[in-house]
Amino acid sequence: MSLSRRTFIASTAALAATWGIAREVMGQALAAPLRLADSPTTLLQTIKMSAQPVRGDYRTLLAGAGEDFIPRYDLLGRTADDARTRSRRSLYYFAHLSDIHVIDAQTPARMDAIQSLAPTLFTDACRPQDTLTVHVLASVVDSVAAAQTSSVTGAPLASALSTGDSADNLSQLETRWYIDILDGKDVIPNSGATGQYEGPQVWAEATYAYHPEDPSGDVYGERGYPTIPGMLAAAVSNPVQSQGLPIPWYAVYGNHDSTFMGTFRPDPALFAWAVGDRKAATGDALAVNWLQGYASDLSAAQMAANAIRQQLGLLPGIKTVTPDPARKMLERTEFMQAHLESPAVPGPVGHGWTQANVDSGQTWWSADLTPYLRVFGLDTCNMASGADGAVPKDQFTWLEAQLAQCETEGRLAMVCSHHNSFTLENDATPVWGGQQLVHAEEFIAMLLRYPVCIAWLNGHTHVNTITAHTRDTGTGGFWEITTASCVDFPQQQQLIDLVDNRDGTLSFFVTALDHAAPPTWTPGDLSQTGLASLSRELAANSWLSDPPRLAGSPLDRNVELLMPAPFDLSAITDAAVEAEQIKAKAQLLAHGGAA
Amino acid sequence: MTRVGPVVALGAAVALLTACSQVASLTPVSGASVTTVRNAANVILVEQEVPILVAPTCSAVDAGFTCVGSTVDGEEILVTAGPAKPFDMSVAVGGQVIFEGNATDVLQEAVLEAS
Repeated sequence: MSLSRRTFIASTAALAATWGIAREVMGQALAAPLRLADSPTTLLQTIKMSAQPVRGDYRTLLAGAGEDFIPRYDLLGRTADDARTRSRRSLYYFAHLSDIHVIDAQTPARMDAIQSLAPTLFTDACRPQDTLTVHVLASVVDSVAAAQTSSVTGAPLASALSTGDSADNLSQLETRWYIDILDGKDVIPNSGATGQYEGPQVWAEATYAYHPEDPSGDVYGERGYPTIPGMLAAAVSNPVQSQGLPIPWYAVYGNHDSTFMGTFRPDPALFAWAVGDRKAATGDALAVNWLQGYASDLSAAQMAANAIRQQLGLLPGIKTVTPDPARKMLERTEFMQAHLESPAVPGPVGHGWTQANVDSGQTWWSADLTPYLRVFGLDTCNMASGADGAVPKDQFTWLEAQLAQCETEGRLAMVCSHHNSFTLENDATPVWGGQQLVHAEEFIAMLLRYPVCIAWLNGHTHVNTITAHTRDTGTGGFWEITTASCVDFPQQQQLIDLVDNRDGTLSFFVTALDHAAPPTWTPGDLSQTGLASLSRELAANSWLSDPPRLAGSPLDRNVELLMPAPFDLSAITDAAVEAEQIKAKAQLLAHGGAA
Repeated sequence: MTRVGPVVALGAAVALLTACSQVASLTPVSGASVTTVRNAANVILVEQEVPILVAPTCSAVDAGFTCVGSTVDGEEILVTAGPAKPFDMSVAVGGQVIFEGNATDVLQEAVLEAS
């Protein structure tokens, strides 16, 4: 049953009033049939590394051929009927973001120098592209905004789900910058001295860092990284402009939103370190002097003693930087509170969390994306130690009860968390104590008990990865969809169209989405999009992060993920679906999209 | 500082930042090795147009990694790989070996422009 004319007219009038758009304009836009999009996604064009290095091991990037959808039958246990392409309908089209990692590259609390001590253990302590993360995020926003209609069904984009590590290091500034860019505000990604970068990328003794003004003395120069005069000044001086997401967006906690460097439990001394004026430039200084009281013990006696030692040259490798109180690190609930300080459009205010979450400290949530699709946002972060995660028993129990309710109500369900099934194995005892931790095997077994749970969206590993979790019967189960990051190569996110094939099967069409900056960086281009393009190129050459592995395989990028429908989907009427789609079209129209 | 200095210093740094009993959890983000093998196997299967029904699922074994999947014709996909980089790997479909080489080279080749 489709939406009646009377209902359509009433809906149009209501939406026109909600969004402040003339009723005629709204009516014409909403009445237009769904059109397949020609969005600039990886279906049309991919990004490849040059076959030959241009200097040393350094390669540039260039456009490659698009990748078609590959059907995956793992959960179906058989191939699919081609007739599905003639009758299918979109139930929900959305973006999956993860591991945005907005970085304040100049904070004293960033332990860059640890990379010289353990480069393969802390591959993310000091990346060449650290100063360019806000530029990349604005470019991600552009690519999502350009993909307003599904290339499979023409359905309108309805929301974005972000699965954690939005900030990089518990930072108030990083959190504010990421929220503002998604909300459409301009950001100058700088802290400390105005218009000036202070940090290891200009300190000669920091040979573990990339020095764009002159890389000849660092490990990146040895590998052929380019000289780029003015890159750092451009990165921290100019406002990054964002058009904002045209859709509501939701977020969950990642380990970098919860712990120091995504690994260590927060500590009052670290909080003091972040707003101080001293930073270690070398690994020796970091380990021998810095962590043993120099930075963290801010008593008057200690500060005086250290000032004398520094004057006498007894503290080599310790630098003085411009302090900035805005670099404050966030307490646990302050991260949620920051999401409440966000406008109603694109919304929702809180982005999944509510004032009740802040008041109670409960860091997980649920939301009805439509009357027939509910999403659960978990907090799998371990607050004791370690990058990997687990599901605390209280969340596990809550989620199981919620999924049981969805079964009763005939509602589809998706779960969002930061950690994935490869990394849900952290055994460290949480500092708040008392919570039993549930790990991957038990968690997956629970999800499999509820057929309405059709997908688990996550991130963390920065690798495009799609995993089928099948029931013991050999068919049915759920898809685990893990996306890459915005900081490491390939800097890809995902578009996902959930489709009812009207033959007893569902499909998730997943499309890898490059950010909108050009594949090839033009030397000397220090514009906003130029810097985003440069970031991708620097990341592609960053051998420590193993870029070829992070891209995933063709079975992890543009795919159709088939599965048996968990119930008779005709219970979700066409009228109900159309009603949701005209709401989504209206919000795109209000943002200025073609809808 | 001697060559062992940085190691000792790193240990001190880690100990200061976390309770010692929790140090076992301080491994890097998990799964890099198995992901390398899995992704490379998938690249080979797609390149060689193997009709996949169930993509290979990988697990660690003493000698490295084993991944098992199946084709739409019911043949077994079997991947075996060594335990360390560059992960020397064999991919067989229905008992026929279709690839022998190392996984890291496969992934590196996959991200390069077509020559």
